[in-house]
Amino acid sequence: MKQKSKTVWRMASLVEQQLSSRGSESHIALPEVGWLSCLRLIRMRQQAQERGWLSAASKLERVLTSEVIQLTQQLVKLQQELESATTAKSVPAIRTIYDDLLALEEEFGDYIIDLKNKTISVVTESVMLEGVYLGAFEIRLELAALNSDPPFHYTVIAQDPQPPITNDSVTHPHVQYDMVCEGDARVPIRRSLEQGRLLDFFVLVNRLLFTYNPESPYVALSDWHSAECSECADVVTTDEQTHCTNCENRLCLQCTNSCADCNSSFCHDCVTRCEVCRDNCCESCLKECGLCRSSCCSNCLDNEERCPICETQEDEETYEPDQETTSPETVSPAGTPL
Amino acid sequence: MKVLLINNDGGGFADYIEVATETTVAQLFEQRMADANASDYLIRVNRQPCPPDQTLQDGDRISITPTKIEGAKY
Repeated sequence: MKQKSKTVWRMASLVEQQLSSRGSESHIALPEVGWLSCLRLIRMRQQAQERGWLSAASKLERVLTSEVIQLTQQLVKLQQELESATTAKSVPAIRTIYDDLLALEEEFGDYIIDLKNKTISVVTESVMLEGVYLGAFEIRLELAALNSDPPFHYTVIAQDPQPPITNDSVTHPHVQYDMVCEGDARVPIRRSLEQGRLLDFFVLVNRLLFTYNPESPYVALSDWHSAECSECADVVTTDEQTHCTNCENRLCLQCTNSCADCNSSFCHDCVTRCEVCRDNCCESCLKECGLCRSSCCSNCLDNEERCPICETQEDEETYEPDQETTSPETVSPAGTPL
Repeated sequence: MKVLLINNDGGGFADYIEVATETTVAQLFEQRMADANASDYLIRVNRQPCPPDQTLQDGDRISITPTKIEGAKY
């Protein structure tokens, strides 16, 4: 959205005011207490000399010497403070700040000035680092109260947050709770704000968002899609994780129970077992024995859907009556003793 | 002639410097950033992108910003 010139100029003026107000109300005071103390000691020494109390006068001289040294140090310190306060902290002209703000449109395509809240915002392009999509970020610069140190605050707000599962306060490897950890950019960012170079400030923060430092992230990109196993709480990468087919809880490969029939993954709570062989078998794959109604895996049921125990029993029952049945082939010859 | 040079690399140097007339952007970069590779920097003259052979004018504002700036967690 193109900003009106009047709005841009007004914001530039506010920024110039902000920069000009730094250090203008620093407290400066003469060392009055030390001065009065020296005056008192001088009077006392004079009185002691007039009365001929030479020893007392000598002692007062020593104390006075010490007090004068302290007073001198306080005056030197005051001189240094005055020199520091009056050293030109160059404040850019409003026109220069205005030109910087206009340049934001060309650099970022769009920017927003909020005079009421005294903020200036730009939105970056979508950030993708090492194949991990992080979305675009709003860089919002806010003018602090006048005479504040620092005179500006800024936040970096994810427009399409893609936090890692392990830490939802992190929206970028170097951004947590909307605050950037500036790292190498700290000094140039501070200088650019101190000197009112707003375009440089936004460019610096933008470049920081597009750079990954694998040595010091809040969450490493390699762990960005990692998750906690719901059973053992280990953090595992995408390649090392699966989920329960039934309840969809995330699982590491060690905590996964696979169905012996269909190989689907299940958590400890959702897995069931074959009542015969005790292998893991999901409820969908378990079938009932036609005779005893035991829940069995397919390996344990025969073609007639009998579990091994029932199969054996039935076979035994079928075999025994066969032994008692006589047939011509089995009849003993007559007269043969039994 | 005098130009404003803003180096956002490292400490962030920003000051007016004297340069010879007809100095180009590339020459200034080489003089000031001898060991650096220009492709690692965003170089702007008067806030605009510029070709390396652009000749500098009196009062120009040149900014040099690294393209890669590493953040941290501390």
